Amino acid sequence: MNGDSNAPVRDVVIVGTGVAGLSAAVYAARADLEPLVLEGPEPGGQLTLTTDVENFLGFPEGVGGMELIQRGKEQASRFGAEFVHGTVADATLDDRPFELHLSNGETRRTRALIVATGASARWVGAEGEADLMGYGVSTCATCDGAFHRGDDVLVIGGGDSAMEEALFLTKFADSVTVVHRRDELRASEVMAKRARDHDGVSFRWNSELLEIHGSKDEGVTGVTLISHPDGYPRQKLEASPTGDGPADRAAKTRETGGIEREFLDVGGIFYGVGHVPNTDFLEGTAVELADTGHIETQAGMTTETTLDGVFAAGDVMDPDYRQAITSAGTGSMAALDAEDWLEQPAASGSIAASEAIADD
Amino acid sequence: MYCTIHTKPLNRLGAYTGVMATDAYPEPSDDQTEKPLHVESEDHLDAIVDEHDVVLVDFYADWCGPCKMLEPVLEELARETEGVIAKVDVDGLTQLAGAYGVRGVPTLVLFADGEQVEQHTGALPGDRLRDLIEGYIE
Repeated sequence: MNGDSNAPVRDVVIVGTGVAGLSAAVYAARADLEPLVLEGPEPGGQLTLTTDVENFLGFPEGVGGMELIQRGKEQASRFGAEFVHGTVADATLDDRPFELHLSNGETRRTRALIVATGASARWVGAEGEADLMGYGVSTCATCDGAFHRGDDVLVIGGGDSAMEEALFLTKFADSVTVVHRRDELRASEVMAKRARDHDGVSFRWNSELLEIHGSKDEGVTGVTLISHPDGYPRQKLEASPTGDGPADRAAKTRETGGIEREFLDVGGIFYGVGHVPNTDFLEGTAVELADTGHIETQAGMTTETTLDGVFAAGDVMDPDYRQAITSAGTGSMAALDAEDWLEQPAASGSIAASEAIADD
Repeated sequence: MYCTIHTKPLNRLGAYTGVMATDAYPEPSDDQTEKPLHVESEDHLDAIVDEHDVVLVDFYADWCGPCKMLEPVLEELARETEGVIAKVDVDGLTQLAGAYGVRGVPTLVLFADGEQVEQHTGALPGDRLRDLIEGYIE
């Protein structure tokens, strides 16, 4: 890092341009905080990967995820938010102002920090996925679905995103099969029903993806699935005893006895198995993270983290709701919380000021 | 998506005959490369790649969200770097996309001195794309 201690100090830097970051940017800009907004590796966040958002209040006909984001960015810019490209590699949060070290070597300094880095698609962990990601394995049906006209495709997962992907893919694929590790869906009733009622969507219950076959030149050619009548087959496979004694072998047969492997010819695989919060750059800082990687916020209605002056909004701090509208909500809360905090003496930058307050 | 860069020296598919392509697509002036070029055919792409030292080709589609987010980034790179940005609409040029093994959008392909040096599926951050282009500019 080029410890650029001469970089100008901003009142607030917002990391992320998904719906949470944009909502924070609108509120912070309207409060004349002149926020700097860092746009990272997935500009616009998860909404840019969806089709229509049907449950955002005020859009009775639904609104395109992309459109919502573009309008939000326009709105934030209109009030004076400044957008720059930058991915935070790590952060020095022990001293004030905070320093953010970007992956391009630049340093940004700020009094208050709003983390709205969201979450990125989780990978299944199947053999071959790293090589074939982008070559028939995808985490974005709306981006890559059209390349699978006439293919048989799989969707991995049982939640709303997986159902949305499956339904979208029926436009292109010959057949869409949802592979889920349990025998019931986690998806909301409306989405589950839509998928179950669709002729083009079938289900493989209690099944998981073990291996993906293919090459970069040919794309995906097939998969090996495993299944177990009680569900979670991979877990059972991994938990099976590895010893070699007679007792071990007996136990192994008992554990893995119900596991069946099957090879399927498919041309595309779409992941809908949830998301992992983007908090790597906060490891080792005073901002406390949960075991899942989510940022811990203080109890009650607030976006305050365990470190004064750092606020969190959207999917990076919310393992439960994860909706467009709740992210917009926590984004606006973070801007209001940051504005409030900046008015306190502790925010003025000197450690002495915060110590003085502690002494009171 | 958003995986690491796959560096692989693919052979460009489709033979290119310099004379024909140059005749069909006159040499663009420097002004034109300040903006992304819209590729009209396979020969056109070959001509662009042959003409310029570093060319970043964006295989995109109008219906793809991440492609839209990438648009202003590429416009900025066309303006601010010496690299040339070429855009291929995969709906209009299906065969060309197929020839490059495109199975998702955006797919970004980088050429240096007429040779393919990088291929990546999924959007990349602006600063990484800039580094990538500038890394190949001598």
